[in-house]
Amino acid sequence: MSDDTINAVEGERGETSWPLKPSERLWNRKSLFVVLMVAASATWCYIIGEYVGYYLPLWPGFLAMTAGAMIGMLLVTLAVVPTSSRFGVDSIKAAVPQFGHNGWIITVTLQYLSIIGWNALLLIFFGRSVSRFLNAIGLGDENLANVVVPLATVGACILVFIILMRGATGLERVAMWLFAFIIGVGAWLIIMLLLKQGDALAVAVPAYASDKQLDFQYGIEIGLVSLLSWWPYIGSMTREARSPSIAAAPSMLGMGLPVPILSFVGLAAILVLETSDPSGWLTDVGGNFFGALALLFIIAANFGTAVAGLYASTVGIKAVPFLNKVPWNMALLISILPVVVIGIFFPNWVFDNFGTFVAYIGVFFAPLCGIQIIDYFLLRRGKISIRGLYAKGPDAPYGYWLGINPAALIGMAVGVWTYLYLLDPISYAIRDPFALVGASVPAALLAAAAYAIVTLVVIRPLNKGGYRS
Amino acid sequence: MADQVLPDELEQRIRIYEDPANDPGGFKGADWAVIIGTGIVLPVVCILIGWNVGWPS
Repeated sequence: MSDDTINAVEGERGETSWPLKPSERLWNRKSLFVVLMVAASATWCYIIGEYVGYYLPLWPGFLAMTAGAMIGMLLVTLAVVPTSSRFGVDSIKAAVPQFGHNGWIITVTLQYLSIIGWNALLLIFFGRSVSRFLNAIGLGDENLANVVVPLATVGACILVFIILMRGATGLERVAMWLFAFIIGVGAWLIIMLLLKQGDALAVAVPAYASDKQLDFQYGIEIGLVSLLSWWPYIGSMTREARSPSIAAAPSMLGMGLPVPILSFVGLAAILVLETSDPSGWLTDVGGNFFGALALLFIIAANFGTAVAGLYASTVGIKAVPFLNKVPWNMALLISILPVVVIGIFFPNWVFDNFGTFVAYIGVFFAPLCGIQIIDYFLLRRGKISIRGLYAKGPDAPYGYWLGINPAALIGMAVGVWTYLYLLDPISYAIRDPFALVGASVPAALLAAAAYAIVTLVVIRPLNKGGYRS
Repeated sequence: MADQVLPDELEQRIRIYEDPANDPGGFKGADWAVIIGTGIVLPVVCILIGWNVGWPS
């Protein structure tokens, strides 16, 4: 089969970075909501809650996390959804007008690293949950984890590969199966914690509580950067809806709200049980039967998210020029293999450095969102050349210089510098005015401002970027 | 740009969206209401309540 034939056949199934035809984009609000919700509802929510629980008590923590999460979702939705669900393209292609047709060097790298990191984290939880589940039904002891965790990692990756051989169809079917299960057991976890630990939760004081305003801002920031992680994921799913109008509400409600709600479990658990990982306390608090049932939920929820994440990164890989002609299954393998390697050999690396990992997500994705938003809504007023997303060369609308837009590079540099000035991602040391405004929002705003200035002063007068067409 | 030859299948897909009849446009009024309601109003409400509720002494 020739390369063009491969792309044409995959194009028929929608598994390339080419725009999906309207006739291929069949997800309505409900199916998009379900897929996005299943993608968002994973055990990373528990570790997000755990980090907020180091600084804030239960209800302030939940509210700060919710505020941050919804601001993060707002940035991601405004940055990606207008282009992705208008033309049926993924997050990487949606960023071409701002970054140029070689801008994938930045966006695919960020997407790939982010999704590998999150999936490595998921797979630790996945393996631990499988091991605890086997313990709960009377098989083996705690040492079983040494064998089960790597085996479960490999098993999950093989299963994800098989499901995603069917592309987005596989993703939608898995999501529909997992939806009710995730809702039901997630609600049960929250109710059980409130009923059994309600009194302790009311008086629980966070381990690192210090200044009220600063702690509250940490809570908002952790919620916000966690949701910025959806940038790489969301485009590959919202492209399946026929218009931004269909995708708007599912994006905000389906992908935004479940995170703080499920993070409530991790927040409550770290405050009173001193561990956010439910596989560590479910059987103790819920008993063997309900504990085992809830562990099944964790296994299922993580699996659904891993499917969505690896689908998104595979579509992203197809946007890379030298990889766009490899068959879908090969691209899928390229996407999954690093997760297998990290899951088996360095699983605790991401887990042990979670705070730094999410902060670095904010470092890069906040400026990225700011640049996309100001460009689409203010500078271009929604005018995007669909042909320009794929055309190459110096005369192409998004050709810029060598396919890279210097305004985006300068905007990113300003945004990254702003974030790093306000919040050190490693030590979490802060500078004023972090306690008042956080780090991600100023990074997004200043990146957007720098991008707009360079565009208006340099790019547009030189007739680059397709602003005058 | 006009000189660049794209694969037939991609060319066909692009032409679909170059027809204004197939461009679904942007967010509508109700979409903006959801986006602003959940992305701006809800966070502001959460911050205001969070400042004043449930801090153990």
